[in-house]
Amino acid sequence: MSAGVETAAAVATLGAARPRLRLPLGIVAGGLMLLALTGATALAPVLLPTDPNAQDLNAMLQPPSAAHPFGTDNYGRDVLTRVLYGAGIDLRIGVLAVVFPFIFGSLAGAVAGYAGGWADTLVMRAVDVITAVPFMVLVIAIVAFLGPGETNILVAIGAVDWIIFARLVRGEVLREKHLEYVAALRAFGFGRGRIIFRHILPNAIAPAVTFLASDIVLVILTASALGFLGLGLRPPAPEWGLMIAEGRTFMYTAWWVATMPGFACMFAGIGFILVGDGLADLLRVRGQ
Amino acid sequence: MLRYALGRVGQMVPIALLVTVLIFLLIKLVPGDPASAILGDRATDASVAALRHQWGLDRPIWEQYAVYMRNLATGNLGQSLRYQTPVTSMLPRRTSVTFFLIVYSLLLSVLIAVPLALVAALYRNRWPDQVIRAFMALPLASPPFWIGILLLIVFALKLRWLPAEGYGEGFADHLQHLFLPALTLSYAFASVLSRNLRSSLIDVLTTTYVDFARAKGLRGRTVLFGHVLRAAMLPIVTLVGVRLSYAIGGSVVIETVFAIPGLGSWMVDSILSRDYVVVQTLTLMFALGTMLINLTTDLVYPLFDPRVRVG
Repeated sequence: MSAGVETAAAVATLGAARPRLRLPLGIVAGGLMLLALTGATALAPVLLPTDPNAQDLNAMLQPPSAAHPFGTDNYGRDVLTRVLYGAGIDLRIGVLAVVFPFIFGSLAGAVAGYAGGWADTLVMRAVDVITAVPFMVLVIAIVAFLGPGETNILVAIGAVDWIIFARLVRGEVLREKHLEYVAALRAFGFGRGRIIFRHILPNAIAPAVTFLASDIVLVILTASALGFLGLGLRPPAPEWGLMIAEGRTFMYTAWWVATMPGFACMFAGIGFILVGDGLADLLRVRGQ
Repeated sequence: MLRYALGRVGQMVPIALLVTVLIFLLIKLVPGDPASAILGDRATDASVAALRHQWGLDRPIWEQYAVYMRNLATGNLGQSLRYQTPVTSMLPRRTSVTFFLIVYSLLLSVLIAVPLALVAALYRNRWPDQVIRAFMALPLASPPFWIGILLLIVFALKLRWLPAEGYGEGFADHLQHLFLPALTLSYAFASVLSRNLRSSLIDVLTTTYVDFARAKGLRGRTVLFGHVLRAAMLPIVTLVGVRLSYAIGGSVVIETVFAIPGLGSWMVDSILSRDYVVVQTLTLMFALGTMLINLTTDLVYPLFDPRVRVG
């Protein structure tokens, strides 16, 4: 009996019409860009067998050439190799840092929206307080006190970033909880937890999932800013922000050292944004 | 209107208090003992104990917070360990620099975003629109400090049109020195602004009162600037408030790129020299500034949109 009700509720909310399976161009283009970047990063040890930190004092600050397509830096390190190894670091931080905010924020938002009362007040006051401090300032401040390093970056971003997901999911749950299928589930005596997590959350999560791609970009830009300020990873890590900071000293004589990692970051960012926008289109079509 | 304003201020007070708690607790994140972390390896037990006592770290936490709040209330924002001066002595000048930068970038953003959004909306889905949208999407994917460095390389180092860093002396000099940093900040700002303004313009362009204005025989330009742009700017007022918070955050990094003596570069310097009290105070200043801006946009909004005032 209960399985029947749940299936009926699921069908009613998902909509009976299945959309045609046509991927938006953005997802394909963005996906290919990200695939190219991660593929190149994964293959970097094979394609570019030099160590990203290998110094060659005979080839310092060489402009881009066939031997060094992105040039070399002040220690004669190959910038292309470092940019590709850097992708491993920055993409890893970008993906890892959104895991906790996505899960915790979505759960907190769902519970706050459904339960209301003190749970809602508690979550929303926390959201208000964190919103009051500019995102970048608060992340920088937390890292300032915790100290630099990859783990601390993840902690700082996690502590601030969850509020976006909480707000997104709460709004959706507030709309969803007054719909008839929820009343029906309640009438059948289903527990709160089951209604929230098995029925409402799957319907309310779409905006949060769509936002994930933009959030990864936000996190990568934030992590690189921390690296640039000297609050992120320590040298000689080939992290993009740190590489841009190191290249700044040679801006006039060797523009490529500071600019190439930025182009890589922009490439990854555009890839994620295209995927995110495409995903939003796809979910909007499904919503209709 | 007065009740609305008082209500908004009333909502802000408890949040501001909770923000002070959050920022007060930041010092607890320091691994180990903050006093010995600051004094370093050469510290003696006596000097660590003295600093702990001076900061009240040897008292219970609620007492520490009470002292912190009493200090804030009496205008004592702490002492910079590095410069051995009260934070308040450097605050006004640094704040004015950052304020100048933010306002400058806001003006530039509007100057960039409004014409681009108008062109994009009028040529909707044709090539000028596509080009503008692609160009304005780039800052969403790029590190702002990197865009700053690109501008610096091209306009300051190669072309030598503008100074590379610093703040300069006198208003005209400030305008010149802060042009590239303000432009860097405004690129990201204008990106969001032009996107929203474009869709808002498209909405207004298809309303019946615009058709009516045209049917009355008003000239195209009068309709565009007198009716369409005015109505389309409304949702943007709120957006400005939200985005200013990002601009303030971005200024921390951009001030460091262009060596501007504002609050942001001061914060970074203080972090690198473990001047925790200054970091704490500056975080609070940034938070209060952001809250004030949001309050102001909420209070200004009804002046543009009478519907809120009545409701």
